[in-house]
Amino acid sequence: MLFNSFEFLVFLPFVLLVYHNLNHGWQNRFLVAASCFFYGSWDWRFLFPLLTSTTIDYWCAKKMEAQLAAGAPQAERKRYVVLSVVTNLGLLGFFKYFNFFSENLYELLASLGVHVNAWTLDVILPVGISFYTFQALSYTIDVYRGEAHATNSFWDFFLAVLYFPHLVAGPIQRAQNLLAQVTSPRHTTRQQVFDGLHLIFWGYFKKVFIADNLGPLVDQVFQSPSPDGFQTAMAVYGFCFQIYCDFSGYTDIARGVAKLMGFEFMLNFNLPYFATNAQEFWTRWHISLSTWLRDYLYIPLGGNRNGVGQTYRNLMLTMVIGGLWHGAAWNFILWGFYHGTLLVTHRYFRAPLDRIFSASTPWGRAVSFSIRLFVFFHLTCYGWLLFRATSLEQVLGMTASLFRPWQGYDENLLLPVLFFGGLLMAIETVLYATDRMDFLDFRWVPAEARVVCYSVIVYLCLFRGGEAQSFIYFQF
Amino acid sequence: MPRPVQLVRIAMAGLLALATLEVSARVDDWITHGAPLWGSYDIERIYEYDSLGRRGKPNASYLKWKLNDQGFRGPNFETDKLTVATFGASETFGLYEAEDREYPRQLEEVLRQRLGSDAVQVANVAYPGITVGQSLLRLDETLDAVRPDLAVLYPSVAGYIEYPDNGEWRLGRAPAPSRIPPSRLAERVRELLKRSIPEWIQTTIRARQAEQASGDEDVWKTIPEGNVDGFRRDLDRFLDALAQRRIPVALVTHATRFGDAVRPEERFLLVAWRKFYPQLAEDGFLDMERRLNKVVREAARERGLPLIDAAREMPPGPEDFVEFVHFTDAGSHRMAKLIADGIEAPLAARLEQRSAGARVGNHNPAPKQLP
Repeated sequence: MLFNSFEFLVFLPFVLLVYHNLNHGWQNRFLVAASCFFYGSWDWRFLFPLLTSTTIDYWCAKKMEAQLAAGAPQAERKRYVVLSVVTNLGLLGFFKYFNFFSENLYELLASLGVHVNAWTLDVILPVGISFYTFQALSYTIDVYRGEAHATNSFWDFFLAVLYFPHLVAGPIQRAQNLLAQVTSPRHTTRQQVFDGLHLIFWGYFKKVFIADNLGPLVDQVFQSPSPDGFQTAMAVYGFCFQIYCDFSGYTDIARGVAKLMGFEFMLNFNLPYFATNAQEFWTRWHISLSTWLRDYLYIPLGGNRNGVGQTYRNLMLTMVIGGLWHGAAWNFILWGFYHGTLLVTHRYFRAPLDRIFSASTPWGRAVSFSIRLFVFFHLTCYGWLLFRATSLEQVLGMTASLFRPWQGYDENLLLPVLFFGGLLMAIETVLYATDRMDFLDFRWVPAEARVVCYSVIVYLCLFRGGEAQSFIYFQF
Repeated sequence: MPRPVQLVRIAMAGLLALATLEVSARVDDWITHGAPLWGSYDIERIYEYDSLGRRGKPNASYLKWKLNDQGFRGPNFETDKLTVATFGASETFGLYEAEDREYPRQLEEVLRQRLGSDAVQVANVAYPGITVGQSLLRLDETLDAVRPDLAVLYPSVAGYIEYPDNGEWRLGRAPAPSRIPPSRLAERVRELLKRSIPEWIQTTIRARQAEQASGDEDVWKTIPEGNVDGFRRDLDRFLDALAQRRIPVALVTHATRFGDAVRPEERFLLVAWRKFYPQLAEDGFLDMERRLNKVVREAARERGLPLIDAAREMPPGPEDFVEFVHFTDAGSHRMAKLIADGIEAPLAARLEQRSAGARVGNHNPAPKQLP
């Protein structure tokens, strides 16, 4: 059931209506049922891996909590956290990565002259498995570290993982944050309703009007056997705006829906295309993933504590694994490696770059900011080419096309990319200038004008949106 | 703020929102299609009316449908070209295909490619909802305007469910003018709901609407034999009229998405079709297709006309058909190729005759008929 489907537009009001007429205990039970229905609407079998991992995580956490209470040393808790990690990563590996590694091993052996039968599995990838695996892992790891308490209610934990707004594409909530909200009574405030509706509204606008209109143009170029430089450039710019609007649109809807039920999800995007370097980008893009990787991978690897060399290695490893998390394909690994390189390079050259771009006057600062913004935006865009390509040959071919003479321009590509990209960046500029991170609420205009603005946007979403497409991040 | 004032403000905001949505729809039409901001904008824009009834309005356009200076869909006709006229209804006029992808346009492309000559043109003289009997009413007018060298008839058969009691067809009449232009927002909302609401809900609603529309009248399991006879009579008159003018004709049987039988998962399409003809039960549609196509095959055999048996040769399924009878771009292409297969040889002969005439220095235009 997609957020942009008719079924969801019936499902959500029904859930809200029932939810707000129940007490806290029944609200949780009802949300478990509604989330099972939501997730099962893709394929009811998807519920089994989810149930398996949550059951084991719940049990492991309880055991670790009991040992913690008994004052047992951390080493004794280790076997439970290992069991949890192995189970979660095992399920993820089985469903998502088995075929990738098997096929690559087969090709490697074949290139060495060893011929074996390729062993692949014919299984469907459960929607959102990467998201809920990371979320469940954060719970057991936090309990293991003593940073969170294990819950005594399986259903509360199950709901925290299964809760439908974030289940399939995040934001990846920290267990302690969401569990606390599950276990205590929730009161939806007027402000939450206001914010929630705005988030949903802008989320749909970004997804339906911008991302879904850009999608077919981008696909057309990426499916073309040999696009020229101009087409490649437009497709990459287009994809840059498409993926942002698609994913952040989903997140906005998820956060908005959660708010309508009194839940608060973490911010997942904070105007990422206003980043001027790689480090800043990862504090603005997919924040729930980047902070998860920082807390549960980069820091345990040693972070920046063991010298420059190991810091660079840890950064690189974290980003490559982050890339692989997105999908079992070499282009995602390459994308992770690319961003790792950007992070390492930025770290290495930070001091000289800061000196070069330091300015004392407001105009100087503005120019310096603009140059850095422009350069890093294009570096990000190139990263999206790696991300969107379907093979390494395509990456090489499209990259080469950018450096060959361009064969004129095609206004059927240029105008939509300029229009949708320009519109998005205009809105984001207002948010950036007003220090907002979430949405425009047209607070500064009279009420009548506000109604007109909202109505025009509703019109664009309903009647000028692109052909309904699935959310890109659902595949991860 | 007192509650009544609050309610009034909410109502006013609602009205303002509706008004903005309606204005947005009109501005959208204006920007996209050059439609007028005020007044209605619908398929009626491409029609005009005279004593006989509806006909195409020269140079009119509505959305992707553009008429030429004679009031037919497609480009203007050129007098020096070998002309194939395609008669039929909405399947021929083109409904769902992209602009210039309706089968007459694709037929022209295929013929030009196969014959290696641009001296062939296809005149699409069909209009939506036209039966063979109705096309007879303006047949002379059409033939005078187009002066075809060959005619292709792809008759839409569903119109014969409602065969007129006295056997006299009439063309559509002008709709009564309305003072308040119809809401363009409402039309868009209807379309949006059709796209968004799950098919099973729409099918349930359509089935109920068909039941209500048929009212207390008996629903036919099959169309009466009298309607089949009526189709035969109309077809004979049509073919006689063309024969009188010595215009060769190729007949095409009517194809549907279902082929010989309806697959259970496509039954909803029959319900959708029935919504337009509620007096005929769903299963009667395929029976009607079989019986009327039999008439077309018999006519071709008796008169020795080329027959393109699209009913048998078009594969059923969604690749070629958007819904029950109307084509996708691919379906139109397949239909164009089928027809081209059937008429390519006589057209090639005619072209050869023309070029031979030109070689011996015959500067008089060749008579417009096939050998």
